[in-house]
Amino acid sequence: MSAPPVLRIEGLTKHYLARDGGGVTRAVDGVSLEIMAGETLALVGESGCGKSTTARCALRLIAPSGGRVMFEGVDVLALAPAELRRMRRRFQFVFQDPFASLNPRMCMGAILEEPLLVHRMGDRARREARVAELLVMVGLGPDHARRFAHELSGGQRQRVGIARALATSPSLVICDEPVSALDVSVQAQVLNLLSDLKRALGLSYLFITHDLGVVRRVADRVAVMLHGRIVEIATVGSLFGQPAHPYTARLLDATPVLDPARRQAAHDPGAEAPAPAFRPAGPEGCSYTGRCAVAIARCAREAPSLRAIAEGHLVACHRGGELPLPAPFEDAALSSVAQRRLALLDRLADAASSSCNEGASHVD
Amino acid sequence: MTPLLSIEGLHTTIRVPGSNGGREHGEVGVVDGVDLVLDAGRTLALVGESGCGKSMLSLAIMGLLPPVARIASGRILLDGLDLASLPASALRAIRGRRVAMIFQDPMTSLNPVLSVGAQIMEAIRVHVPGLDRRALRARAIATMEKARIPNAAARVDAYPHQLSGGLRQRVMIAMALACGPELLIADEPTTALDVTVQAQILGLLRDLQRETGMALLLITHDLGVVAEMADEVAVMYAGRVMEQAPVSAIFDDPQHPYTLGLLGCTPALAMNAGRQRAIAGGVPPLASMPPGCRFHPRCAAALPDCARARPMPRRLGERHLAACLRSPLEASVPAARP
Repeated sequence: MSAPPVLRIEGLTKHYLARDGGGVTRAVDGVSLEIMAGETLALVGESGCGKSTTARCALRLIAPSGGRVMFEGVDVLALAPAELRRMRRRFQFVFQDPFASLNPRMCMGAILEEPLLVHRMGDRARREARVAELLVMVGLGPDHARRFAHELSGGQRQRVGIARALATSPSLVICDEPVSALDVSVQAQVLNLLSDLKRALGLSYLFITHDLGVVRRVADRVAVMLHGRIVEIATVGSLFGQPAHPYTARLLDATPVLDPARRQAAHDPGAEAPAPAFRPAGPEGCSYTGRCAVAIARCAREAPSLRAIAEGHLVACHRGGELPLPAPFEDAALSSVAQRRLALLDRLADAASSSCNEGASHVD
Repeated sequence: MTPLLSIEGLHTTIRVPGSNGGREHGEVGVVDGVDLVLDAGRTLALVGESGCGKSMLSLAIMGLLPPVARIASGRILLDGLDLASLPASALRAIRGRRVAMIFQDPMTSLNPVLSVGAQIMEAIRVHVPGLDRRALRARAIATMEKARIPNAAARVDAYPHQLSGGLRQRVMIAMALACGPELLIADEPTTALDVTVQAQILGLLRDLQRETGMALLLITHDLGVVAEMADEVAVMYAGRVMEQAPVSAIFDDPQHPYTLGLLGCTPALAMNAGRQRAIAGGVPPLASMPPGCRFHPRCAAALPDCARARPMPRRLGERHLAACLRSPLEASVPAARP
């Protein structure tokens, strides 16, 4: 019953040397993760915490400094270049900015065909058929193959970005902030598409985002990253229900909720937190100590390692699981009036779609 | 009491190349007949997705429309003074002094080759002539302290790249506050920031507003930020205001299908996992706006009449207006079918 994980990362590190010899920046500092088949693992953290670098190192878009990465039972870091290229069919990336990640001089058909050419998959006719199939799969039409990026909306472009990632039939897709550049109404369409595709194709996702609302939507499990380290991993339910790391609680607390009655009365008057972008070189102490409201003397001396506080819930905090953290997240849903009216709109939409069923409509 | 800012029937247009790609230019409307009111000391949030005209509206208030754009008609009254008809020189005396603005990306709106102090001093020098260097510098430091920049006396000589994103936005705020404006326009002030820094900046804006009594026109696409900050809310779509109400009514009694759609698809922490609600389709391009209500092609509740004429704002409560033929929804949609 316990199939091996699709991706297992152990003790991954990426160190950068400062140009002036001023020391080491530990961008990724001993990260271990597992992603099971069919699972979405969200990697959350603020800018500069090392979440993108972790994903890129694990799949060798940049060379890691150390650690071990097993993908579908193969040691990725030991692969020869030709083997690595073959392996890349099986893991693909979707990037944040659909404006920057599509070549403006190529039509969508050529963009989608490119991975098939690179991996020498199929003859011309088969590739053409595959391009058409991919476009339909992401909710566009075969006629979009002749369009250029500037002719598409942001949401349509991101659909093409997703189709390109799926071209070689990967088992793992790394989504790096795939909806951050999109409007909220379009975000929802793209998130729904990603979850439909995951179910239909049996994909696993490593989903990198800074938006906890999006995490709540898409993730099965969540890993919270800070200064190059994982500070907490749990299922979505546990992480939002009982955050155990003070930093996780802070992130949840700082995320605005859709309820003007629950405004944050106070904010910390200490202005900018004295947090360097990366923890300083040297192993001593927890890097969150300076911003942490519940730090004890031990925190400055000794960096905590991840330990289990419940089934599947790991936290790297000396006090994790011991304290009732401030503001464990309370549920705040939409107002009942808003929900009732949304239900009315849903009913109207259902009625409209059942009364005129002809012509499958393309979203966007 | 006259409101601090009153926008009446504002239309802006931009010039677009003609279809033959030649000399002839056409004009398309962006902001299409907007009426808004903002009282002194209050916060009005302008919400909408990209292309709804919210940034164009704020640039029109500042007199900073790009050369291809112009105000076609309407009035922008600041304390009774029509900014839309002022000559450039008169507008310059108001801009920065009575009305100031901060932008989304503090990195691109600060000059990278000048120290932040020099940039704040420039803002002061333009409007308060006759101060010597020492006085200017002291005033810049005081302004930075007001924006809660720690160690301002040392940071006054820092360059933008030496500061974090949050500190850069504080510098922008300091610059905007340098001359004590009555109205601060903040265009997506926290969109480029991390969520913990966002909370600090929003808190700072609220505190400063309380201290100085300035009005805040907050432009955002994030309903979470609206809930956190606004007194009044205007929801914009495709250049028009769809719904306008006090903040509590927007969340507790949303009327317009577009407002409802936005609320429904904003990923909230509390929602259960599952299918995310979405609004079908996308914002129509400027050059081919649908007739009637501009939201009707995406609206589940659209009636044949919605495509015929622009729905006029209807009054649904105190200061609560919605431009929708279907409002209130319950009255026009029968309850659950048997």
